[in-house]
Amino acid sequence: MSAARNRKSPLAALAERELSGDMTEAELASGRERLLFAAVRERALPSRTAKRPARGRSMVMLLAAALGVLALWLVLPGSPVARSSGGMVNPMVASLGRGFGGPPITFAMATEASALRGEDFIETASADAALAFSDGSRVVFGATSRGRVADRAVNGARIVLSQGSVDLDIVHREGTSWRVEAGPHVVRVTGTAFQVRYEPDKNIFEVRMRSGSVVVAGPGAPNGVTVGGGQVIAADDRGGYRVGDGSASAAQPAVAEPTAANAPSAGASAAASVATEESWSARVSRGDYRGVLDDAKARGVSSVIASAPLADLVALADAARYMKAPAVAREALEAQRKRFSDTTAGRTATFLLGRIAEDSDGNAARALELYDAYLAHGGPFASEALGRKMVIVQRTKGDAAARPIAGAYLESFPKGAYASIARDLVAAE
Amino acid sequence: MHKSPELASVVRLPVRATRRPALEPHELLAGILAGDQLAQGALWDAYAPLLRGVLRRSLGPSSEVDDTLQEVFLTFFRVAQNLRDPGALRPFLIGIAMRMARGELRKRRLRRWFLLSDDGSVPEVATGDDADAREAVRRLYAILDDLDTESRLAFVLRQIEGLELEEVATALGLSLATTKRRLAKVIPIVDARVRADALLAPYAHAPGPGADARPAMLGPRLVTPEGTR
Repeated sequence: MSAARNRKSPLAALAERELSGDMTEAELASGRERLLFAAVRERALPSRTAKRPARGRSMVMLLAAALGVLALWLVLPGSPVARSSGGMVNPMVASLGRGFGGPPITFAMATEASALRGEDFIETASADAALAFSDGSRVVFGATSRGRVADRAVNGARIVLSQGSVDLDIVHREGTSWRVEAGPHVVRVTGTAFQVRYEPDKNIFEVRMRSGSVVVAGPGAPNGVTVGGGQVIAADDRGGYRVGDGSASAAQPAVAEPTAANAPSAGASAAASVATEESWSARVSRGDYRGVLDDAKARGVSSVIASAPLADLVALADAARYMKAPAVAREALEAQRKRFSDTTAGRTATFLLGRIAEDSDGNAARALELYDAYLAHGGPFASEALGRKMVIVQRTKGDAAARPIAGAYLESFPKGAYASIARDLVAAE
Repeated sequence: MHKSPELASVVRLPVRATRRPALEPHELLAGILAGDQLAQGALWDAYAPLLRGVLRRSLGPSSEVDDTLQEVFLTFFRVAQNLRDPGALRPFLIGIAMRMARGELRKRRLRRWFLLSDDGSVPEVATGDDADAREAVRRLYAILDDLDTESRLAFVLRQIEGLELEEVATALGLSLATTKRRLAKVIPIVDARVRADALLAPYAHAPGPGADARPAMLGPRLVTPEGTR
């Protein structure tokens, strides 16, 4: 990267931050081992290494790999080879030997292999695709589903469901740890049988339990909701979850589960009146800002502000900000701050009010006050709050006053969007 | 996807879980040409985050890039003998990544035909917690999705990655003149659409005092790329 290009626009810096290539040590190690495994495998296959002459070292590696196969074949009771005699049509091993206290579990396609796209991606057409894992667990992706086996460890796997349904029958052992991720929802599993359905386009997420229990966590319940055998949990259209028994339709669950998103609502009747409509959050997600704003005005902004649940307040504030309606945005955010002060959303409202004070009102003093209030608790916008504070102080009080903030910024966010400004300030000393 | 029993049976690998020591480009290249795992691992450690970022920013926020990233490195292992100058390792790798990104974008366009998803991408878990930022990035890439593949990649490499013009040209396998022409055409298009978007427009200004205050996405080089080097 050129030094001349150090100062990027906020938009380029934003893209760089949001789409960073940063990897944790674990991700780096996992990717490295996957790569080296694939490199060895390629060498073992003449058709894909035609451009490279065979080398002595390749033979050694091939021999080592073959010995590894033999060892796994003999040692693992649930190895795909062993299990293939149990009726698998097309056994396929996907173990990487990551070394987290032993080799990770492996899996094999137990039905049509055409559903496997790449090593770990599953995409089904009209038929189910069953994966048989070496620990005895079974994962079946339903028809017209997409997902992947995102990670495997010695005691479980991480399944990502992008679309459709997945049925899991997890064999419980000591320390078993499986996860199913569907959009923002996470299902933590220790040993149970259940089905997850996820239709992001229709805003549907539900888990149907057959036995055992799982913990479902997501934006509406960051600490998780435990559901047991026979129950159904579904994401409601207001950002939380509802739990019902298996006999009830998941769309009409019998029991309301209090969550941070809906518990404090004082406007139950107003909320009930829109329960069957598309949620404001969903409408904001698809860009219908004007519709949400118009809806709020039709109902009476004051009434909404006073009684709407948190999810609606957040959606209304977003819609108002995107539609350049700062007065409504400010009201919604102030309500978030006041009514939900102990939640992340309540604290985030403080930061967003600071932005409105800075950008729309030109009130630098008020913006600084709000940024400081937000920074006192911290949160996902800490980088931006501190960066904005630095710029305001530089503008209003000069470089010398802003320099300590720049130093603090660089210490906390060396790759942040305001790092180049902070570096310039520090360097100019 | 059917695989041969031989392939399916290769399971274990004598790999080390620790980070590889940093090696100079010529050491990396020599080691990789010799099939040395130490060098392969060190290459991954040195370039995986960079290339992962380049791929993510080329393909957009809803893309899964880790498989593509692996393929970049495997491709490099296959063609490393074509790299004569070890000093050109980084642009060589970026060039491979761009070829992979180009292929992925084309596949995505095909997938769009089959309506696998709205934008043809494979949905990925959301990134940070900043909803505004996510929305802004989503909108930026919605704009980029409307560009042809070559223009999109040129734009990303130049305006977001900040590569020099020669580096952009090398990575995309284009002449310098073609690269300049392409950028001169696409940058104003993107810039205009960014400004027309209520959420993106505030990002179109260069940051803070001391920066170029011109209302262009990346300052003065945006509209006259060849005149700013």
